[in-house]
Amino acid sequence: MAGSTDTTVDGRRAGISWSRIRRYGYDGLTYLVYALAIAFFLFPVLWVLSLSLRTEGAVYTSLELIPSDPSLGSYREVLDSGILGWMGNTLFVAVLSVTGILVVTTPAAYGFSRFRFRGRRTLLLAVLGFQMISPIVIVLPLYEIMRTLGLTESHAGLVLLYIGLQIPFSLWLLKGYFDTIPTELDKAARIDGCNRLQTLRYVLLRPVMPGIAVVAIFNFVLTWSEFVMAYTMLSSGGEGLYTLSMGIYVFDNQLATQWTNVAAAAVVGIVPIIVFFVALQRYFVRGLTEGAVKG
Amino acid sequence: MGRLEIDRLRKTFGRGGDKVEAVSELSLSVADGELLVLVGPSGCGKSTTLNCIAGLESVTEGEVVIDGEVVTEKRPEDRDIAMVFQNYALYPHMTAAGNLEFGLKMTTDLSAANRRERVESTAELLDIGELLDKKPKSLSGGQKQRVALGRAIIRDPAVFLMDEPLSNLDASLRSTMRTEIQQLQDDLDVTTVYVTHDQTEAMTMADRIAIMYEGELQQVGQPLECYYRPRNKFVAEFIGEPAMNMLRVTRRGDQFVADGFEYPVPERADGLPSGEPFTLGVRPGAIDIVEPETGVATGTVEVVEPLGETSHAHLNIADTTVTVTTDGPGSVEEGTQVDIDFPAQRAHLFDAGSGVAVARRDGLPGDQTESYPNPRYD
Ligand SMILES: Nc1ncnc2c1ncn2[C@@H]1O[C@H](COP(=O)(O)OP(=O)(O)OP(=O)(O)O)[C@@H](O)[C@H]1O
Ligand SMILES: [Mg+2]
Repeated sequence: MAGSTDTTVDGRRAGISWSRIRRYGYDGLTYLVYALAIAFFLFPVLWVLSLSLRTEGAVYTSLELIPSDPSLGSYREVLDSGILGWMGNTLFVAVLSVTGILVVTTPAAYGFSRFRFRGRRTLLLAVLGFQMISPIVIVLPLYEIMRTLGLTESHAGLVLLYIGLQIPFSLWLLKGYFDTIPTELDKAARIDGCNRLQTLRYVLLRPVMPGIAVVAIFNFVLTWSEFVMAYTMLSSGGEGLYTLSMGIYVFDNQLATQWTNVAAAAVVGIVPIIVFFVALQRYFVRGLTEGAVKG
Repeated sequence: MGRLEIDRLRKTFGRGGDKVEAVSELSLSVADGELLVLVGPSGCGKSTTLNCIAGLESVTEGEVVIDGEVVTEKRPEDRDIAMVFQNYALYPHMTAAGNLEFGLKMTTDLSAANRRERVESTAELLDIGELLDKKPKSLSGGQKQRVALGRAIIRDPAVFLMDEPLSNLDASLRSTMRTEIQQLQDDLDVTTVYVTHDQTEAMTMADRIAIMYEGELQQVGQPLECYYRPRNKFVAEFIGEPAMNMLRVTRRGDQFVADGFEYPVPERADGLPSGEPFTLGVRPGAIDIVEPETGVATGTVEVVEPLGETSHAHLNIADTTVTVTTDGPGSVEEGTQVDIDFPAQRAHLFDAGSGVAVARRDGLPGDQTESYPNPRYD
């Protein structure tokens, strides 16, 4: 394909061909759109970063992105508050939720992808049906149930909620990923002496890893920043139970005027996500772009 | 040792309305060390049959017997079989050596050193020693298929099952690998069931071929037997390239007649009833172009496809197309009229309704004093 515009044999190389201009035109346009999109998403983040580095007075008076008089004061203040504890809570909840989600959905997705059992389609559609329900709609009944079970004001309860709420989407995503792996691999494994679980463990798990990484990252980011469920389940407990998003909300309330502190807390909250993403992005990108595992 | 018997195998998929019978009443036996090729058009149930032998699919009815032992209910790894797949199915995260070793690891308690030894000797046999540390991703198609063969060989199975192992390779590689597999199978003397829809593979590799159509076995026999003495119209048309010409004829006295065509009833077909319709089949290679007015039919040459040594001429005989394999360029001209004839031994007759062959010839060309050209492939 590329050869048809670059190295033509019909003598048009000498001049600049229209197709070339068109191609560069398209390329330029693509980059322009990318640049706009990136700016659109990056600007708020940079603005928060900028706010967090200002002195309180400069929040309302200056519009410059790079503060002329940067200060780490708000970070000191934020770190002295309970934020590290809240981060610990959030990390605990996020890691347990992701682990739980993967433990449930990996075998389930394998089963839905590989076995043809009675009611398979119905079950899959039912699972999808649950996904259609917005968690906000059912947050009150959920709260009631959790309270009856004595699971409010506890991280375990929140983790269970997250797992339950995220299973449908994760299951579908992972099943789709299993579907791209040729079933001949399973057959070969069975002839080589694997039972079904060993087939999953020794043969399919590695090829399906990018899919698992996508599910893990997606759910980690989601649970890390989730607010409504966390607030509903935990706010009646002490501040020691809070997750990061709740903590930032508290900041917002208590120190309503202290925008620099809110911004600094937000930045502190974003950093682990970025670290996590950068660490796993190789898998993430592969999981999203690469379809089947060929041969 | 590895004698394989399949007894009245039936396999259905699905229930109720969308039930598919993929294999019906299939009985076959494969002798120890024999290479049986299972051929048939796409969807005829070849893979399903193979999977049932392997234990990858449960059978609906019937039995699979390996070396006198009924294995129908056994798990694949307990059946003493190994399988090679069309898309290689190598474990992508393991090296070639890891792929070879995996089955031994799972099914035997050989020590790591012993396993390594087996891996190396197998690799040597297949000439893949230098590839052992590579992952499948960095191997070429041919190399992958060798590793896949190695993974089957290393288990030292009683029966080899191969499901279109060469169909992902390009033509030239396919013919080298074909010879190689054949030699390997000969050397190892392992009973093999080889599935393909490529009849060149079937004819050249097989000790016997089994032809399937719509889940049913049509004929089992040596390749030339199936070529010269097809049991029915399907086999006659499926085997041989270009396909056998089929003419609707009616017996009138001592002639088979159709529009623009008259052929004396061969001696062996004397018993066939007069006034009845039949299908008369003749291979393009069996037909000769003869002097005007001396043939059994006259046709107009519509298209000539030159292939080099030979050409395929498509004749129009009373609106029926008849293909003739002729000598190279210049032997026939498009647009001319030619007469054709063919020897009685090369005429195949089929029941017009059921397609079952009637009045089949005895013996094969090799047994006869007269000599016939060999079938042409490739
Ligand atoms: N798991 C299955 N569920 C339902 N139907 C199936 C299944 N596997 C095969 N079939 C059907 O059984 C029939 C035989 O299929 P099979 O794969 O054995 O054909 P094949 O001869 O190997 O064809 P090909 O040359 O295309 O590989 C087909 O009609 C197919 O649709
Ligand atoms: Mg098949």
